[in-house]
Amino acid sequence: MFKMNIPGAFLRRSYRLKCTKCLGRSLSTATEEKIEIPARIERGPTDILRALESTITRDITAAHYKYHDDPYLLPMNNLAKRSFAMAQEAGRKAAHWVRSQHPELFNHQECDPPIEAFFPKMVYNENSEVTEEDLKNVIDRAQVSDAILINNLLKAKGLEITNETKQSLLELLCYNNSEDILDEEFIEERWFKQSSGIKDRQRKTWKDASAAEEIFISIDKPTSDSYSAIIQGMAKFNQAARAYQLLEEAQEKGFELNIHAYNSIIKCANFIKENYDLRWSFIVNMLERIKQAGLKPNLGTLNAVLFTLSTMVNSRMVKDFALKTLNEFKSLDIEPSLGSWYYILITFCKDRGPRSAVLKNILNEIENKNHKIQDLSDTHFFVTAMDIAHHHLNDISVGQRLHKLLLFGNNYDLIGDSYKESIYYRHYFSLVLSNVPLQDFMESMYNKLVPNIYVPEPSVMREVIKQIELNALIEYIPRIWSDIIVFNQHNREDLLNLILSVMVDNKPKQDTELVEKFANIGWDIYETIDGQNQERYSNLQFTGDLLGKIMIVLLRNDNFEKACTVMNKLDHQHQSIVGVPCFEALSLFVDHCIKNKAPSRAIECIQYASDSGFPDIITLGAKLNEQLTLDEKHLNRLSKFVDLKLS
Amino acid sequence: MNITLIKTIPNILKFPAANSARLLHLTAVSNKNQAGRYKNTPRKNFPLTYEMANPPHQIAHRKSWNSWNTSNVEGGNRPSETAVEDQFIRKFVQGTWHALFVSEIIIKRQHNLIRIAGLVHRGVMPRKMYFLIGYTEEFLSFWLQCPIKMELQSVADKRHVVFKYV
Amino acid sequence: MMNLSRNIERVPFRSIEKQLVASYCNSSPQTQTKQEEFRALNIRNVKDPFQTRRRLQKTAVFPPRADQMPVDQDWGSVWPGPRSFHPATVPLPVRQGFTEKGAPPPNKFNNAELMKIPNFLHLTPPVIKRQCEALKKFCTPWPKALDNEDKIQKNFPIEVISSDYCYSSPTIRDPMARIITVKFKLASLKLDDRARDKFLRLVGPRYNEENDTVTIVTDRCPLKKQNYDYAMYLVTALFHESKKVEPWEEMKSEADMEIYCWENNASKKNIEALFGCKSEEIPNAAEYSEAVSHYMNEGENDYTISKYGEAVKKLLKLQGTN
Repeated sequence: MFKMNIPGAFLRRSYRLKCTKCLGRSLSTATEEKIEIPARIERGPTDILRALESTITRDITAAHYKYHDDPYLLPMNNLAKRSFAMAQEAGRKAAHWVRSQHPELFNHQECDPPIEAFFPKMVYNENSEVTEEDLKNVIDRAQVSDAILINNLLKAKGLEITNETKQSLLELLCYNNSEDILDEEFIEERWFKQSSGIKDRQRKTWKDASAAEEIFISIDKPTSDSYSAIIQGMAKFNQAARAYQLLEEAQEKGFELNIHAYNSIIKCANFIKENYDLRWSFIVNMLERIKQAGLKPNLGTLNAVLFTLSTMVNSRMVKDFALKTLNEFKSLDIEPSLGSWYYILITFCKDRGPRSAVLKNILNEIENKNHKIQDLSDTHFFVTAMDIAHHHLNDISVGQRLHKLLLFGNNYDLIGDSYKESIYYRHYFSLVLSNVPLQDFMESMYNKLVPNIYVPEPSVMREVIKQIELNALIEYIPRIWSDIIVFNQHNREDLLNLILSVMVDNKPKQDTELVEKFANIGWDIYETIDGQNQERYSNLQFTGDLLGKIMIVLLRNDNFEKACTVMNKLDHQHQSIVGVPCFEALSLFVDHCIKNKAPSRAIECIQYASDSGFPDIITLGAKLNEQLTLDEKHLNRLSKFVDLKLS
Repeated sequence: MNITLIKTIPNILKFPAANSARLLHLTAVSNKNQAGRYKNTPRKNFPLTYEMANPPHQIAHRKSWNSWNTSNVEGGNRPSETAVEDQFIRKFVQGTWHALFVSEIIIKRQHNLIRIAGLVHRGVMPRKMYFLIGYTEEFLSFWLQCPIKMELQSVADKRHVVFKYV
Repeated sequence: MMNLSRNIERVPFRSIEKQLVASYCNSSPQTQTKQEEFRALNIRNVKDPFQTRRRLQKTAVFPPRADQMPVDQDWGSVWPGPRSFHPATVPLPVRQGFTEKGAPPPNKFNNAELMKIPNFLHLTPPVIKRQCEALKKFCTPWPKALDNEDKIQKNFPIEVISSDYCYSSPTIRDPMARIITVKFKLASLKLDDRARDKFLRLVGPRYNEENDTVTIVTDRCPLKKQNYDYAMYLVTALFHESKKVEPWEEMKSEADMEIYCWENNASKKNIEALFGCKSEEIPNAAEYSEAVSHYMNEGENDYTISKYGEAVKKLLKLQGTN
């Protein structure tokens, strides 16, 4: 992060040694002052960098630092953010692929001390000469498939491996369900992968008869550790019944399982017991067993209990249990993590349940503190809490306190992934938008967070436009429209219709800049729909209403030529365009025809109106006839569909 | 022809020095400085960038170096390796970013960090550019075993980097 | 014979030909389905309207973000680390380049020269201040008792100097980093004259008379640690070696002395005999002894002779006579 800018430097270090003999002498004379040299302040290898980093705040004029800081390369909407970051990672993957295809070209060693990450990875196949050392290495690096392969090779060669290695292999396989996981190096893919867990959480994903189970069986004298590992693995991937069965088996054989195994079983209570009461008694039973085994429960136990409680139906009893559990663990000096609070939140604030202010109490507890990740569920807290602040409480002060907590210290690390982050901001925006004057919202939030930190989704944009209409602050419309284009939302029919109707319904004062800007927006909309690629899958279609509104906006700025183009479109594609424009649009068009002395266009318009079945065309015709002196031809055409005599 | 030639050689050796001058052919003096200098074209339409417009002897006067490292300071280490690596980086980047770089490739080294800077034409989509950035950074860091950083500035039009026409 | 062999040769060729024809026939219908009709010979080189290249979709480029930066922004966060110059991020109207005839220098956009020179935009005075504040927690105060150079000298007599080298290269190794320099004042060893003499003979040119400093440089071992240990070993060995008195040192006679020492010489015995008492009790003997030593050590010159004369006069109380 921070380096000296001088390309080469030469550090001269000089220190002085104390001569013990001299010291003895100096102590003997009482007049000498005693010299106290302060002890060195211990620091880790990255502590200096972290201290320097703490002086830097987030620069809101720039995108995230993973993007290239150049106007051409800065992403401005969610699609670009995702595709740019993923493209860069794809490039990195390509380089990895080249290296893995030609490892022999990368065998030189330039760096000293050697940096492991730059060297090609060892490739193992059926013919490799392997030893237990190799197996240990791949286990350390969490290369699951390589570990399985090497283990099989060792078995084929008849080499025995020590029980410790077997145990660590078993733990690796159980943790990863005998599958390779995404390399930690590809951080963007992890960030943008939409929370995949949601579906898998409710479904058995444990691979039966997998390598993990083989290893477990192959251990001659299973220990309590190996039982604990396999139980945790099965419970993690929801093979609950067998995990429970193994737990019973282990206890019959008199093994003392570790606390994590019990935690994982408690998390599976939903799969093991059906009834809510049964589940609770199961949990209590398990806690009893922990007590009997002489184990000390930890944060994982607390979270497991709260998780199971949070999945139960909403009743007073469940809430009582949850509070009791919290109290019990508090007396054990176990501090709840954000994940525990997340479970409490979803227990107390159900959609149809009564309103609960538990979030405020939680905030009192966790405010102004630096939180570290201790449980996987910790990352769910912020997004859920903001959702509750928005939908459940609709309390702006809670939302702002929560946001302050998020920005405190390194708490932003707990936001989870890109998906959770954008949902969090969606709730936060909607909450502030509906509770704060629009001007304040635009200044304090919109201008600061958009687009570098958050790009509003179409639904949020719609709310913003609605608020603009409510507050009659139409001067924000041009800004919002340019953002809609930047965010690539100008192909959303609902947004286009909404912004157009806001512009039509809130007529700006004549001869202001806004009139012209509105007309430009209207023409922009016309051109985006007209100029779009016909081969695209989801095409925007003109509707009569839309075109009518565009026409009104254009005519207010006296853009007669452009309005004529729109009218032509209406007239010529009569069959394909759904709906008809409002009568005011047509009437305004006729007025402008009169103003611009273009009777034939007016007649076309009236003809269109008559074809569309408007009853009031007579007034239009009469107006035209009165204010312009029509020649014979025009009169003939007009009289075909308007009975002029009547008027 | 060949045979006669061979025959004459011992004769030349035998001749006294004054006579041999007549037999040896000398070309015109060709130690003229030519590298990095551009001749005027008839139509004066050959574009030069600022870098090209200033000949090499102006380095450190009107233009600065394209490689920044400590290998050539007094007592610096790895001078030859650094030069070869810089050349490799230049070739690799020129080939990977085909026809996109509109300036020289600037390589700055600090400790084990290598920063590759330059002007890039906006010839491909930003997404593809990101792919190239990721690929170049990762590949070169595997090859040179140093962290690599690209620091690009995009140029809307190739004509923007033209300093003058000769 | 010839004919026969030719026929034999032909047979395999024929079969290959057949195969080729067969495969051509097989492949031809496929190629024909791809091109639905015969391609027309384009004599006039008229461009096919359908083969126009797809235009590159122009992506909108936003104005430089330097334009949107507030005046009171925190520059240290915008430019946190060393980086090549970028015109869209630096809100300064800088220019660089040489132009003829008073034309303005090229501006910051598309200017490769600005990207070449190392900049210090990440080390502005407020940032340095801030970073120093952040690093203060790793610093310890200077011991209060050590407030002047003498005290430092007295309490920490040995100074050890080593160097680290930072180059722009993938390795942090440098052979020069192994060198260790050890410095100390000879006086701090508190040696007696004999030991001091011996010490100086042992260290030779490593002793600087002007500031009484001994400098020992070790570089023969490959590692810094080894060189340090070796230097410390040398200091210890020198100290003890110079303290040691070898038996042959006792055999040093007057003729081996490198300087004249009045105490050990006949002159002292003579005046003691002359006055009949110890030299300490003779008035002005100290001056005399000094004058004699000077005369013997520095050699005969006007100054030493006259000094000697005066001392003799004083000793013998010949002041009155001239």
